Amino acid sequence: MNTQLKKGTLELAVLKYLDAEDNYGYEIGKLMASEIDVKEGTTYLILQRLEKSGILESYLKSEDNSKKRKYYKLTTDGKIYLKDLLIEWNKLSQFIEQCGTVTKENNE
Amino acid sequence: MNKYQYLENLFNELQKYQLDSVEKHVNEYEYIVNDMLEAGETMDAVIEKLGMPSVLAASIAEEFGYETKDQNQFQEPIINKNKSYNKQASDVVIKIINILFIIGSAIYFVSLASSLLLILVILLAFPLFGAGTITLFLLAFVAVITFFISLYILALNLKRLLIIKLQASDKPQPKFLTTFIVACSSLVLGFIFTVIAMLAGGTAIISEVDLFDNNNMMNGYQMDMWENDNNMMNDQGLEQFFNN
Repeated sequence: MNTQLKKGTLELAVLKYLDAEDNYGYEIGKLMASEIDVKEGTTYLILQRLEKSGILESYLKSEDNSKKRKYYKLTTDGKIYLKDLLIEWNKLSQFIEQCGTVTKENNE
Repeated sequence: MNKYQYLENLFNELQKYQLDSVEKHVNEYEYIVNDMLEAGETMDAVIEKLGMPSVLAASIAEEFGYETKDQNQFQEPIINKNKSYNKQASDVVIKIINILFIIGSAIYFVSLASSLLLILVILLAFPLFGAGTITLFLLAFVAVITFFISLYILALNLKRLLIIKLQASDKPQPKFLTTFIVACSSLVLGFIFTVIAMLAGGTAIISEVDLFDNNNMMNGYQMDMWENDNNMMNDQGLEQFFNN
């Protein structure tokens, strides 16, 4: 996948994923690396930035072997932000779809 | 490179940037590295995925818009010109303070060691005095030595406070408040031990005078008797001498 396209969509993908369920960094990073072919390190940086800006919040959760993991979840602001991003995403994808149609109609 | 070395290097690399909290970022990566290692990945794989500490630190700085300390200096040449002059001047002052402190400490510890010799002398003089007096003398000396040690701690912390004030902010510094508290505590301790030393020393001297009075000195009655005996002895002795 194109690097610039990945950069733009990774944040949205992370937010969409965390909207469905809370998860910890490594798991999110691994998923993004396998699906979008992005370096795990990039995902961690995005997680940290989103947390700092208040879109995500983190909490420590003890696993079965009493090991603590840092889980991320969307804040209320994060949910609003995701909603806005999805609206923009839909508009963008519609526009891209329309772009092809408009070009074809113009040519005809 | 093991996990701890990696995180330590990351900490050092992040310190090159102007961050609000280096520890927070390092803690974040500690969780991630732990998760990766627990998932069965090797440290080499972790480094490959996250990058070398310097690369990771640079990525963090880029993501969060942190500037390097040098970059910041470059952007503010006028202010930093003054800062650098101040820094050079303060570095010289710090060096002088450090040298003076080392010389002072050396002299101080030599004199402290010589005072320990006095304790040895007191111990050797044990048969000449009572056990109580010796104990009080020793207590006084121990208190005096402790006082000097607390004075040294005070001097050390005052030096630190001075250096904190003079030192440029880009160097790791001891916390001002902690140093100040330690300095104040050592001052209070020094005062307490001085009081103990004075009380113990004073009591020892008084008790020593009493002992001298009780054991060696004669009271007025004894003195009169001694003089009478002597006079009588002398008179009788002379008479007998001449008669004989």
